[in-house]
Amino acid sequence: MGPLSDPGPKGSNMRFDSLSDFIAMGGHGLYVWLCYGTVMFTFILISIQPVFKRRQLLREISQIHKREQAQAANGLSSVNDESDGK
Amino acid sequence: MNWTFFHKLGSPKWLYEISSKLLPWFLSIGVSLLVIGVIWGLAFAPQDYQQGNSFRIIYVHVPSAILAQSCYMMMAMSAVVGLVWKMKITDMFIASAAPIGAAFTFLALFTGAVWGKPTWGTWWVWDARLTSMLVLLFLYFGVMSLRNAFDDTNMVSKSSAILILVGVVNIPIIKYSVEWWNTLHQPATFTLTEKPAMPPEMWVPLLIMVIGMYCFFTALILLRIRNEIVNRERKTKWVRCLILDQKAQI
Repeated sequence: MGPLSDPGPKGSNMRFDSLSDFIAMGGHGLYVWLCYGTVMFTFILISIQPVFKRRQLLREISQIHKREQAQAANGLSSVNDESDGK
Repeated sequence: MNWTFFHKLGSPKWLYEISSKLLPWFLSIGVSLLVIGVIWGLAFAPQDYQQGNSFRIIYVHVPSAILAQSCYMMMAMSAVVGLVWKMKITDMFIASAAPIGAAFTFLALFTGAVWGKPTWGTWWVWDARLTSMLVLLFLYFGVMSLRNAFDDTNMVSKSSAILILVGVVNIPIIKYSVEWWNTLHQPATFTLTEKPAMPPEMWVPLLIMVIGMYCFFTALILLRIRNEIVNRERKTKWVRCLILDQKAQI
C-alpha cells in the first residue's frame, strides 16, 4: 500500500475518488465487505428474532386465555346467566 | 436505607414498562450512531499506512470484541447478585444476554479472522488472544445449553450463574493475553489511561461505533428481557391486560 491517499477536493474528506474505488477498497474489498456484510446480517438476525418470538408468545398466551375463558364460561353458564354466552 | 428502587427492580410489571419506554431511545440512538460510525469509518477515515483499507475492519472488530467481554462481565455481576439476593430480574438478564454475547463474540472472531488473512497472512493462529476468545464463545454456548437442559427455573438460574462465575477466569486472560504471551495480536486500541496510538480522525469513528454498539446491545437486551418477563408472568392479570391491549391496537 502506498502512502495516505490524497484527501480529494478541498473541504471533502472522502477517501475514495469513485464508487468503484470505494468497492475495491484498494484490493482489500473482499475482506472489508465480508466483515461488514456479516456484521449487518448478524445484527438484522438478532434484532428480528425477539420480535418474532414476542408475536409467537403473545399469540400462544392469548390462546391459553381464550381456552380458559371458554372453560370458565361453560362451567358457569348453567349457574350464572351473566357470562354473555362466550 | 431506601429500598424502594430495589423492590421496584423486583417487580416484573415495572420492569416491563420501563423497558418498553427505554427501548425506542436506545434503538434509535444506537442505530444512528452505528450508521454514522460505519459511513465515517468506511469512507472518511484515513487508511492505515501499512494495512491499507483492510484496516477499516477495526470499526466492527473492536466494538464487537469489547461488547463480547463486557456482556460477559455484566452477566457475571448479575450471577453474583442473583445468587445472593435470589432476584428474578438477574436471571432474566442472563437469559437475554447470553445469545447476544455469543453473537458479538462470533462477530469478533469472524471479523478478526477475515482481518488476519490480509494482515498476518493467515485466518487463524492458536495464540492466547484468539484461543481465549474462542473459549469465551464456548462459555456462552455452555450457558445457553445449560439453560435448556433443565425444566426447573430455580435449577436453571443457579447452575447457569455458577457456570458464568467459573468462566470469569477467562476474562482477564483475554485482556492480558496480548501482554503475557507473544502474539500476533496487537495490544488494546483504547485504554483509560493513555491516548490512543492513532490520530483522532481514526479513533473518533471507532469511539462512535463502540458507543453505538453499547446502545444497540442495550436495545436488544430490552427486547429480549420483555419477552422473558411476559413468558414468566403469563398467568398474571397485567399480562392478560397487556395482551388485550395489543389486540385492540392491531
